[in-house]
Amino acid sequence: MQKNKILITVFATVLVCFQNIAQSNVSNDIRNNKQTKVYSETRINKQSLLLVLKELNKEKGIFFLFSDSSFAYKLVTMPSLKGGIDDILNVVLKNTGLSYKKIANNTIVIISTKAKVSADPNQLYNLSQFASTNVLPIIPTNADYSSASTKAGVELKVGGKVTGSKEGLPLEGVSVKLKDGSKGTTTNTEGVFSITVPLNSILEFSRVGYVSTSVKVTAALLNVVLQDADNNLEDVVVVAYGTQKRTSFTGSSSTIRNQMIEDVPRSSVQESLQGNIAGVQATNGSGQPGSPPSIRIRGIGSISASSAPLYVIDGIPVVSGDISNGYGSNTIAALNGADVQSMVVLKDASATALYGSRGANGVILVTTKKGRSGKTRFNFNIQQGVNLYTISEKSKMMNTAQTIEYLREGWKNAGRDPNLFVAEILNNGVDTTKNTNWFDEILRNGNYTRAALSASGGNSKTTFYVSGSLYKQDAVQDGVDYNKVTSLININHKESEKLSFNAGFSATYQQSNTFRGGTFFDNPIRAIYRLQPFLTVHNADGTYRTDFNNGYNPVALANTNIRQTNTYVIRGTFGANYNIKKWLTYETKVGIDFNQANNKLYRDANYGNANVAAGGISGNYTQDITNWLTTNILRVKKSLGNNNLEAFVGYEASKRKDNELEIEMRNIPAGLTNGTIPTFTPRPATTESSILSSFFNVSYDYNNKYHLSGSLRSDGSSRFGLARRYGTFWSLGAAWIISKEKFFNVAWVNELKLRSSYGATGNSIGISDFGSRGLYSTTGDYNLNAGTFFSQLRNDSLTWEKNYPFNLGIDFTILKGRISATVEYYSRRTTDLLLNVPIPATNGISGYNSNFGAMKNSGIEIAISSVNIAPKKAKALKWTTEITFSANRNKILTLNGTLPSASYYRVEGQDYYQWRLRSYAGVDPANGQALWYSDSAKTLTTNNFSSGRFLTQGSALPKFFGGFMNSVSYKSFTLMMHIYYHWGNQVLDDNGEFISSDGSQGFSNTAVIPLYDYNNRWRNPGDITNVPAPVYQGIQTGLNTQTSTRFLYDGSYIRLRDIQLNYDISKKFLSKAKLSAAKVYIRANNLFTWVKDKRLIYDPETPVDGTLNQRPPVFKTILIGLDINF
Amino acid sequence: MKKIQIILAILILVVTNFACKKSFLDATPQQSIDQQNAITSMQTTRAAVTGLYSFMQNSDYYGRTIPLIPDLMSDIVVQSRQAGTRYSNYERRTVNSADSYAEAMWQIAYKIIVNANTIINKTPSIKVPSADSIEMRQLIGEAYALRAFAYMDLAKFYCSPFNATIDSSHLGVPIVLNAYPEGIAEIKYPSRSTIAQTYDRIITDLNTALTFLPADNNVYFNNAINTDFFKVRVNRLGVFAMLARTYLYKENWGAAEAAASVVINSGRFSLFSVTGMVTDFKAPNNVESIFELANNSFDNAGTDGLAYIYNQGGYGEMLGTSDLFANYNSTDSRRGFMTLGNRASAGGETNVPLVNKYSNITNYQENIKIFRIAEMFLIRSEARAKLGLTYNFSGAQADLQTIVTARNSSTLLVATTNTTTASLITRVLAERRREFAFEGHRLFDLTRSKLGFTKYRNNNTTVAVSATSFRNILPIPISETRVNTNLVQNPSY
Repeated sequence: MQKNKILITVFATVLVCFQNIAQSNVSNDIRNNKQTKVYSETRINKQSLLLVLKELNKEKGIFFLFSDSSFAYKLVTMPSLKGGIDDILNVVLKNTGLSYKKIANNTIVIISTKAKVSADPNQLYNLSQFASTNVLPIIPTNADYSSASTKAGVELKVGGKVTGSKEGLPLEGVSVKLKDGSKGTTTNTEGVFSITVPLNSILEFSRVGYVSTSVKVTAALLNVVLQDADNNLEDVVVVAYGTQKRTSFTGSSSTIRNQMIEDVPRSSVQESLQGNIAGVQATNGSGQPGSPPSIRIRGIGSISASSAPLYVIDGIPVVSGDISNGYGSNTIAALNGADVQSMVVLKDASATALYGSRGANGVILVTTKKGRSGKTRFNFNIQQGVNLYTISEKSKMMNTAQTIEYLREGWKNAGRDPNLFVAEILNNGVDTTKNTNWFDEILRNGNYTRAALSASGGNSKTTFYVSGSLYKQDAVQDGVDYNKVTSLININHKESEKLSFNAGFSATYQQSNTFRGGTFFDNPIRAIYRLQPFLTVHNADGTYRTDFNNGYNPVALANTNIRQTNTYVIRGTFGANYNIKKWLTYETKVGIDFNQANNKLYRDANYGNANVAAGGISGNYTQDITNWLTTNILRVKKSLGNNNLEAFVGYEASKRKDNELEIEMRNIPAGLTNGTIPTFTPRPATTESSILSSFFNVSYDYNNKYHLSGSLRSDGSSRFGLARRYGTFWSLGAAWIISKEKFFNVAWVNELKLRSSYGATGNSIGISDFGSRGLYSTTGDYNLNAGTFFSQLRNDSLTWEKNYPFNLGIDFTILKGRISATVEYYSRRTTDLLLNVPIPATNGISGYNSNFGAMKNSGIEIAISSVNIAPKKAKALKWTTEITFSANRNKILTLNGTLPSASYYRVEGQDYYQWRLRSYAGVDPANGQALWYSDSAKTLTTNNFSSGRFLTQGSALPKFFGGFMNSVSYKSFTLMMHIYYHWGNQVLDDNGEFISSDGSQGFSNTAVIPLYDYNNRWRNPGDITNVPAPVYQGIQTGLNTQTSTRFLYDGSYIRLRDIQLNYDISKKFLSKAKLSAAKVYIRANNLFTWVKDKRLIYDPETPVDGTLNQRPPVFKTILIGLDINF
Repeated sequence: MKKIQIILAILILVVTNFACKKSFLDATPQQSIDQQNAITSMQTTRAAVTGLYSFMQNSDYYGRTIPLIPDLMSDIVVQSRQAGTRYSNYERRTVNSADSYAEAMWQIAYKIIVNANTIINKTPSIKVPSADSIEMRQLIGEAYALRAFAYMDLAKFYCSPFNATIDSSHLGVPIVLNAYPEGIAEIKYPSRSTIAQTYDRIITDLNTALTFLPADNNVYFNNAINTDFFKVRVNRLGVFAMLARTYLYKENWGAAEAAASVVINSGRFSLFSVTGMVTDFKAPNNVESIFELANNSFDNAGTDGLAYIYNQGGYGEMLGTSDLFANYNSTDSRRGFMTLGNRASAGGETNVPLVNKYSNITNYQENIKIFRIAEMFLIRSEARAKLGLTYNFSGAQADLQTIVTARNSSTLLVATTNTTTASLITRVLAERRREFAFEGHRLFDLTRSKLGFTKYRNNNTTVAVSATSFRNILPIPISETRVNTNLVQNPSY
């Protein structure tokens, strides 16, 4: 019965295929019930070996195995089934290059006659394996295969199934076309296609998200596996307002492979940009999970407005950045990495100009996964791990004995009577028997868990993707953690050939417990670097001590206070497409992006400034941002001979509203966390902005060889001054596929493309909503009466920042696709920078918003992808390498004088993050005093800090950075290693002058000194060192105003950012467990970091500004994961 | 299909119509007022005047800095060795031109001045019903008065005393009389006037204020006398008090005496009792207060305020000097503003004067005292003494005796022990030190009297400071000199 069913299926397929020759679509109904008679009608001479053997199996009860799966589709003559099996097989296998071998009484293996050794028993294919697919050979109707192959123009009906490489699932909607474009079809929901084409012609298979492939037609069955588009070989790229063939794209964009996102334990998808995309500097520098990293695409594009890119998720520009009052919420982290299909970084004018006044700093397009029709497929992924701190032992501070020894030496150096030192210790209440290691008190090992489940399926009309995930990350700092729950549903519905709808909805919840970094008393990291070891966490009676650090006992704060941020992100989109004509499509889209952050603070009365008298303080801070948009687009696509034209025109309106409310209450009843009496009058705040845009884009190519593109956008923004309300942005781009030229005849170069673009984009992100108005603030209340005051100078000319990016790129693929690379040069000039122009405070305000000044970023980006060892067959050794390299130079071109800054030197010709500090000249070997250079040539030194010269000290921006990714797979194992390198920048410890106090603070409770200073201090005349002699309460050195290069470090480092060992569980086992694929892996993040500057006692990763500001420490995560498909 | 096309067409129309109105781009600020609507009526003018008081209340102004640093820089206050970095450069006398406190104070003073200018310049064009005019005139008068206060604060902190040069030709502050700049073209880059011109401006403004403020010395709200506002807004007597202080600093003794007499003779204020002094001082609208800044539980400097920096339950890092404590007789009611005790922080000082003149860290509901009647007696005593033995020396002695008696500070009678001008002046200054401790007078009393003094440090060391030390006045903020090259920096900064 089973066998009959198979045959029926085979011929049903054949029938259906015949019926569909005239149509380009293949029906998916292969189980309809009127095909038995077709069997005889279509029975002809040539048949696939598979079918023949199936007949034999049915007839003789013999089992057949193939040593190579392709043997199944050899075309043979259907023999008479009478006679001995040997006779039959000898006839059948004649002239096929095949032979056979009996390996058991009733089992025969079909092998190649060339095979010298017998087939690997583990690599045999049996008939049922072939039967498991619905697609079976299609029989040529009008020609003998062997003779047809020699004749030109013989048509062959080919069919088969197209599957994706990663999940092995059938792909619907794959375009199957003859290379000359004369004929084509698409696969049905089961991934099946059928087409009649000349023998030896070339069929091209392509689908969005997969690497296109070309196959020569030599057999009737063509099962094709499409590689998931995970490198720059992909054929179709996601671009502004749609997708585009990569070959025709004139702009610069990079796609991050979804493998680099979906299994990554990091809390936000943005963190996956680091080292994976050339030209993108992505740094976090904080161990606060969920906090927004700083992302800079092609350098620093702005000074006072935002330099952050625009994020567009499924076509909706969304709110990004911290919306929780400095507690580090990140709306982008609401995305579950496993839901991300692709993340594309748009870099140049051609790519970003369509985003007009928001495109200047690059655009990050995130596309979430969509459903695929067919049987519902589930994916379950779980990860479990630990977090460990990366800070080295060196960062530890002095212990009590060392502190006493050090200060005793300082006492002597201060010229005081050594006999009085003990009295001083007692006078200062120092308990020398205590020795608290604050490092251990405040840091811990954390846990990490993530679980994600998704389901995808549907039918030919409606497909869906739904997912949910849980994420939990306990940082290495007590009281710091991050939890996330996400949900997503994407639905597509095809009503007819003309009309289709899509809708997406996601709701996410993030909860983090945080401490602010920096110099806040309530920052426990600050406590590590400030609190003396002779202090203790607890009093003798077990209660927390509060008699130091203004009562901010860091351990009490972590355990008692609430510092919780809840972030809610809800995004919904609805879209419809209507094909008015075959060449004309109308699209409409409505999107809503709702973000809310709610900070809940509870400060126990006993600690810090929530003093006992006030009865504790509770705070609620809420900000919600609602952002909606509507887009309407009309698309034209026409080909005329070799001329291909695609164009669209669109109209878009969007509005953003912000609401804020802050309430602080005191007098908290015991056991509760909310106070009863307000400490100030709650002040709600609302603001809004709107953008109205129209845009036009055209791309034209001649013969797929010469490509031209252009775009134009007009943005009106409520933020701009009345005189400058509308702006026009544009781009022009061209590409030339040199490898398609006849004259280009270099065998080892497969593809060579040259492209360039130029244009004008704008930046209005970060310009305040009413920044151009002359305003009176309403916050001047007094004695419960409303009060107002002049707060902003009117500037009708205030407008967007203008950005003029130029890009020149070359893409090439060589050595049969083994190596592909992109090399780009860019240069972007930003003018009309938004600046707060300082004016004399005697005008009632001390600055106003204006546009002036210009800056330039230029650089080189290289991305190389190489298959070092290509596997000869499945599961053989494979080794691939990907390298990215980015070098950017920032330069301030014009500026009205100097931009005031304490530590940076911001004048024309310098880079924006050029340090300017007094130069530390080390220690006078004669007396241990600190020295600073007093001249620009660094020849003269002074022991008077104030006389030290301010000198430029190098930049906080790296000279170059990038990633180095290796993946080696063998059999079921894959080892992946991602190394990030960051080179040639200087980082400043903002708090160095507080920490390295050289004894000037005496026994102050908040004056612990690093062990580094203890170990390297000057002791005796002649000592050469860079750490001054301690002087008890001295004022020559160690004062908290003495910022200098003493605290500036080389920020170069190399980090093993990611390493993963993956094991694919064998198919045999899986089929028993009814799973389609499964893998287990171990993975580690930030496992190892090499730091160039040996003096540096912190993790070297900083935000773009290069400051080490006592943030929660970066940590490493080590985890095991399991990923199951079923 | 037709149906779908119609639906789509409607959808397009709706969506585009929704968003393409011109008004779509016209957003209205909700947190701020467009400047042309800011001062257009009595209500809006009242709000603008209220804004001036809000600046005064700021912790970078009278909320903390102004009452604190003159005492910290002289011999009243010492910063604990267990302290943060707040004001530590004032403790060490290492303030430089980048100092954020000096910068913030300067900026707030000019915010008060420019906002007051705007009120003064714009209000004449406001037509109010005649019934409103008494309050309207009062609002203008307050603007003049607060502008004068701001100039006086600038003169005290950023300029050498009036008498530092014979003709008072040394540097004053920039005098700005115009309203806020309407646009970029109107930004001004003023240079510094002389100190004589600065004082002239102060006195002119105060005298103008007197003509605008209600002659009955009351404070009006909605055109009715409002007693709640009497002391927390500048009343006419507060302007006289300011005139008295200004003339004292200017050494115009006769005018100082006259102005002080107006306040004393008004009969509206009286001195605390000896036993009630400490608690009564903290009470809002107390009998001695002429002008104070309101702090209520919703609107206060909180942890950035005076109480928090003195109270050992708060930062508690500012302590009284032992020298000051020793300066009071045990019977002196004002000694109650300090208690000997231990710094709350581990390793802190023991048995040192802890300050409680401002101490409410529960709801911070303590008003900042700017003028008290006691000051009028001491000003008049000093002025009369300076006018010589023949003028009204007994009156000078009597005024001082009034304070000595009220505070129970000494059993020695002024009339018998201070019979010379010099001796009386010395005793007045000593009494002023005791009376105004923690209220921010001391440094100026010393410098205008050309007296050197001792700065007590927290490490039990002392620093001798001359009356003319350049560090006795603050630097012009570097942020200001950098953008306004017309400004001359104070010597040695």
